[in-house]
Amino acid sequence: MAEYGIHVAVVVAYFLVVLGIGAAAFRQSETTAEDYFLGGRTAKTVVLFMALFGTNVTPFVLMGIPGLAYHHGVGVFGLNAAIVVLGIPLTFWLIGYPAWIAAKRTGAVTPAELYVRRFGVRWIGYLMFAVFFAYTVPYMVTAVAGVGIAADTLSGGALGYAPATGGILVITLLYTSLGGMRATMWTNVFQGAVFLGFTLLAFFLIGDRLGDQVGLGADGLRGLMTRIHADNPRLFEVPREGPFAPGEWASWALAIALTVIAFPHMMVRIFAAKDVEALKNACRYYPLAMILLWVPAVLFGVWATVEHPGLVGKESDAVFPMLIFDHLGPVLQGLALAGILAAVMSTLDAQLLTLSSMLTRDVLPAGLDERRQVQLGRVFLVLVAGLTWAVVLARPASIFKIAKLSFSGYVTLVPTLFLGLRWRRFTVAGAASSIVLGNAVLLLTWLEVVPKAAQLGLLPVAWGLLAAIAGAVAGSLLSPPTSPSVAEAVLGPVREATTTPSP
Amino acid sequence: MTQPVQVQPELDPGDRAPAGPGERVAFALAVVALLATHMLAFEQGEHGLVLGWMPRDLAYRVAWMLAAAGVVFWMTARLWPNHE
Repeated sequence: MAEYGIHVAVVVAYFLVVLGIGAAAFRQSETTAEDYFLGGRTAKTVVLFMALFGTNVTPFVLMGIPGLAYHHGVGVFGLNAAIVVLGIPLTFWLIGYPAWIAAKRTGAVTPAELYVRRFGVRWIGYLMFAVFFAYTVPYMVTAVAGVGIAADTLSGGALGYAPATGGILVITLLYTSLGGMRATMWTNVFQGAVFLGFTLLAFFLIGDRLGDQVGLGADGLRGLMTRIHADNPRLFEVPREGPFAPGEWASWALAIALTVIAFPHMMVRIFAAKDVEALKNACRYYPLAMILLWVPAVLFGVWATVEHPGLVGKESDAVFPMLIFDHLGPVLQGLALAGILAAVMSTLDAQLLTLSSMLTRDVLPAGLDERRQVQLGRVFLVLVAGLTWAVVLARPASIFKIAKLSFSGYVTLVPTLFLGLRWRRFTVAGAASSIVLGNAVLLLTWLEVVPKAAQLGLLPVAWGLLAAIAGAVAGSLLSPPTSPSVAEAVLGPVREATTTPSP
Repeated sequence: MTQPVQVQPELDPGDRAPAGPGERVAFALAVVALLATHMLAFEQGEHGLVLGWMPRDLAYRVAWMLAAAGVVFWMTARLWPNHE
């Protein structure tokens, strides 16, 4: 019971710091929608990097990835971590950078709003909002479920899954609805530091202690890894079957490399950048931070096979808190919970805020004054949080599986996001057919209406992306071009250059 | 005959010359090489662990990520414009 009290004290201290930061942000906020939803577009390097890093790092990494590595070994690192350090910076350059310019030029606050202006029709915003909403809610579910599992495991069942998940939603709502984007970005700096700091600390302490107990031929980390290599060598191999078969490997690489730019909460963070240098620096620091985070996350899963063999399916989602419970003292256990809370809150706040801003800007009738937009945004935050909690309590699948569906769905939006900024001939019909066709094919392959044998070893995300590209190109070429003045308002002017035609 | 061309703002005085076509091709080849080598895998077998604790495939992935980080630095320094 004393240990439980220490956990609570550490977590309460963490919450007080987060709420304090949220309150400070609230005091600096103005009542304009741009300030509430984008922090006045003033994010510099550190704030933007931590916001992007924190938004990108969720219980998918701290709970889902150890859970997957528990079953599949170190191959999970290559499958999930490596390609994103190239894919995310490339998409930031090719999509994020022109989107940031266009958002500044037009004053757009949400991704859907930017594309409404790009095509000059409001209904495309409804369609984009629907797709963003459909894939963001499951993603939020993975985050909140992660907290519930961790809190339940670390408190020995005393805290409980339902109260923990409900509590995290309430706290996040409080500071997000008060301080808006400025609060989420400031708290992300603190949360990212807690998250990364604790992960590294846990890596060395658990590796050392577990290695001293069960190590083979050496103490600490070396002994532990030698022991696992001797007892369970398949965990160190990439089997080239299942998710590691070349077709699935390549299509999953496509999914995780492309999905992040299509997270609406990520795109909004890009809109909030103060200058180009902040965007570039976020890309430069990202690979190193990913290595520091992902190596421990995968090895936690491998290590857990030593002391907790035989876990089945989604039971392995809890291996990280299990290791902490076994090897760290109560203060560090409390810090672990705070670290996981940090991971959750840094993503959840941005997701809630972005959905709220899209509803108020892209769905509600135009012409509402800005104060009214912010008020309605806060009401919507509460409704989305309630829906998320209901799904969290049902917990239909493992964290990894839910995230996989969510990531695959976001990828179907990438052709629209890219071509809308890079191809003036791209039309609203192209965008709509890309989104509808991409999602239809994704669903047909995901539900295996198209038999798995006919999918040629590729994942549904690859077929969804191909269909989205085909829909974008065909729909654009078969429809009249967007009015040049509408496109120019978003993409900037074109100048007339005289060229001599070839004879 | 007239063709629309994207307007490019003037360079800032401190900007370096933008990457030319040759450098862009080299960058694209580097990206393709990274994508191709991402498909490789290293068997552990009876080999010893790298640095005494790291499985071979994990060590390969970390080295790949460091190479990718180098390409990202190249991209941000030379190919990504500084202007809006």
